[in-house]
Amino acid sequence: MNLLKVFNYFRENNAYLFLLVYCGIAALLIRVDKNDPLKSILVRGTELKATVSQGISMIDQYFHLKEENEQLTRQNAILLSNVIGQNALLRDSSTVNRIAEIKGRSAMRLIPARIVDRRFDLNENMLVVNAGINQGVKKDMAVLTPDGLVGRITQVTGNYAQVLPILHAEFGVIVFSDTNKTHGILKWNGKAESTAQLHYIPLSSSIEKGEKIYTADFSTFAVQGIPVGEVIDVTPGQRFFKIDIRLNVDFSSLTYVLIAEKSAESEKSIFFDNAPETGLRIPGKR
Amino acid sequence: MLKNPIYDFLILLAIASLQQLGIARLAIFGVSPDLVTIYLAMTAIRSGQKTATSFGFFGGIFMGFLGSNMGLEALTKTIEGFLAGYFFIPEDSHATYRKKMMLFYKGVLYASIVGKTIYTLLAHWLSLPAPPNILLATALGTLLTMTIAVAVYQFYFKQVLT
Repeated sequence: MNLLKVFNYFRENNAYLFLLVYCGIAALLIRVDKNDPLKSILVRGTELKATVSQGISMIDQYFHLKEENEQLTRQNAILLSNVIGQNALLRDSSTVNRIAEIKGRSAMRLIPARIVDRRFDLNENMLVVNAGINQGVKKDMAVLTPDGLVGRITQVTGNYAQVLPILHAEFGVIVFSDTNKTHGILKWNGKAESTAQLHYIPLSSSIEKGEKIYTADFSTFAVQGIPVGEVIDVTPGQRFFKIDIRLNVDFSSLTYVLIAEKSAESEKSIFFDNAPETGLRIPGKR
Repeated sequence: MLKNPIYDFLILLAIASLQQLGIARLAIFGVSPDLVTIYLAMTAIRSGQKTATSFGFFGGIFMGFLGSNMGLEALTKTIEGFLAGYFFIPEDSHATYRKKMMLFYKGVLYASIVGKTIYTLLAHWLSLPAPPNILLATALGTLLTMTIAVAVYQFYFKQVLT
């Protein structure tokens, strides 16, 4: 009843007062957007939204079974080619070191997940997958497909996780080119969804069109060697090259993803997370 | 004046859910029509600026809860409700059918233009480095919202106002 009285009191007063109070609260919410109490509320919202979206996407899935089958066939083909390639390596005794490297890499556990919600619009690109803490997913794990890198886990609930995809201004990952081993930072400029940009490649580098790009060992969340894309345009700037990368992953038809188990390498992110103390802050995780 | 504010508020929550869980999936060039803006204009026309502003704020909070950017959603929807409130039609009004229709459309139009512009500007400012598509988002978003508004008026709201 008291609440009703307060509400009525406000109703009887000027509408500008309403506007001022509500806008003030909204501005405060914008300000504390990244704080823990608000985050925990948003996590519950994500969980609720994901549950509903999963139900809706099941209907949608039925109509895309054919496409999914084709995609699975393609993935099988890639896996089969990998098996054949690795068997060939095993037969070749001169590549013992290479085999050891592959063995080390294959120890990485991959958690399969299905995309239950996606948001690709002008403002915010986000994915929600149906694997969470209960399936072993943790924050800052890398998300990929057999085609290449998709993004990074940013928020985890019991059975769902939110993925920050490459197609987000806040996303960044350290990558290298396969031929020249040139390292740079991959970021998206908010324009074409099939193209990202490679930054900080000095003019002294001999990077060329057609070079494949992979995640580098320096990344705080991704294991080394996840394919990312291919160089399609190299333009010299004042100090660095302006490089466009065609992404391997087709985000418009993304249905299933794999989440790479977090490695000890991710401990590196502590240095960046403790920025105020260390002074090592770099915008966005790489 | 709203006859049953709680009932109308529940409808607002249902529409906000539909917007975030369903309509957002039907985006064209990343822009979708905004049902909440239309509902806020309907509320403003019937019950005035204060109620529409309040509905806008709480609807925005709920939309933020289901999506992200809770503060930004609340801010834009509050302003939309407030703006649409300028087109309030009192119960004892003798306005013609045509005038009522124009007031409703104007309410949706102004609320949509201002809301979309503020949202896109601030969202880009908070995330993307440059705002290349503000005009597209505002124009296309308003066009889609107005299209739905015309349908809503012709099939439902016309009967409520007369």
